[in-house]
Amino acid sequence: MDDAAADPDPLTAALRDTPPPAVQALPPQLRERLATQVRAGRARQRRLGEEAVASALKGVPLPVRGLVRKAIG
Amino acid sequence: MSDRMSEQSLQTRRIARLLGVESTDLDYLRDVPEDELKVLHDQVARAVFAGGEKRMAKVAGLSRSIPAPLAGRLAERFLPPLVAARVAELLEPERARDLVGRVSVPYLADLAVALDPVRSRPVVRAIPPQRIGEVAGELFARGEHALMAEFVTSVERPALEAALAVASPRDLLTVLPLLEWTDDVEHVVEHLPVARVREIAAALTPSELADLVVVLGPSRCEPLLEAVDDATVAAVGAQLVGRRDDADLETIGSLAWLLSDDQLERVTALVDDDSLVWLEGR
Repeated sequence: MDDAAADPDPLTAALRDTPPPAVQALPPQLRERLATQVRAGRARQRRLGEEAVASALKGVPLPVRGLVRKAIG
Repeated sequence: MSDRMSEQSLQTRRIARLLGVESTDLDYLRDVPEDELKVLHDQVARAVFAGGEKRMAKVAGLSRSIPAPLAGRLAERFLPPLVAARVAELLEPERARDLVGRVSVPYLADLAVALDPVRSRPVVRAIPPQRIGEVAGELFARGEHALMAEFVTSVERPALEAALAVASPRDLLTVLPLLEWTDDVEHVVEHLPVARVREIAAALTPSELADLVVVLGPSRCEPLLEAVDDATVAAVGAQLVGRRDDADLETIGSLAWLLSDDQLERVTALVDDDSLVWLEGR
């Protein structure tokens, strides 16, 4: 789901939590900027995670790779 | 203050590390109080590492069904550190404790780089101090000082002692300014063995010792100054005065009270008249 669409405040949506008061008090464009950085950070971690899982599966012997893929979803 | 010690907020640097950006990209957070930045750091950590838990929980489940010796070997052979890190965060601390003894130190260091410092806290706390020391040695060798600093609040005192014990004097000089100054850090620094303090003092230049004095502050640097000769103390004092940085000068102002008359005389001989005002009151 798009974080920005899920919550009117993009930073609260990106953090999935209410930011501390002084952060919440930043101008909207700076809160938006931080929200964008958080979303980019999460996307980066997800991408790295996907690449790592793919690489892990490549290392599993072929006869059981399907089973392992099924097991970890 | 030298280039080694950035003026940027510690917490801002921690957040930048999580986000994979330069800390200058977060300059707009400069007016946010440090305690609120700390809360923000943990929120960012949870947000950035969120997702994929279901799949990683299944991998963790698989690892539980395999005998530990085999699980360790299989993990190191097939699980990239990033995946292993996500899985490790979901393991019971006891199981993690068992597994970390069965994989290599370089693999553990790779895994540590990928860990979420908030979520991994219970698992990291379960790791024996000796193993923490071994991994810390590997991370220091790789120059991962910011990462080491990140985990200071995750480990308990014996593990912190083990980690700092393997740091070279220059590692300490690099990592100490990055540390959140917790009670445990305070205790470990305060109780450094005399031989260790002497080793640090002997390895660093007067300029580096001056950096360390600023980081430690006047109340903690007395053992360090006792470990060097009068000429070195004078050179350190002159370094601090010569830099004309407010933080350094405040330190030398307080430090002046720790110096003997002879040491103070040596400092005043090394600095210009304009700088002497900072030693007034002695």
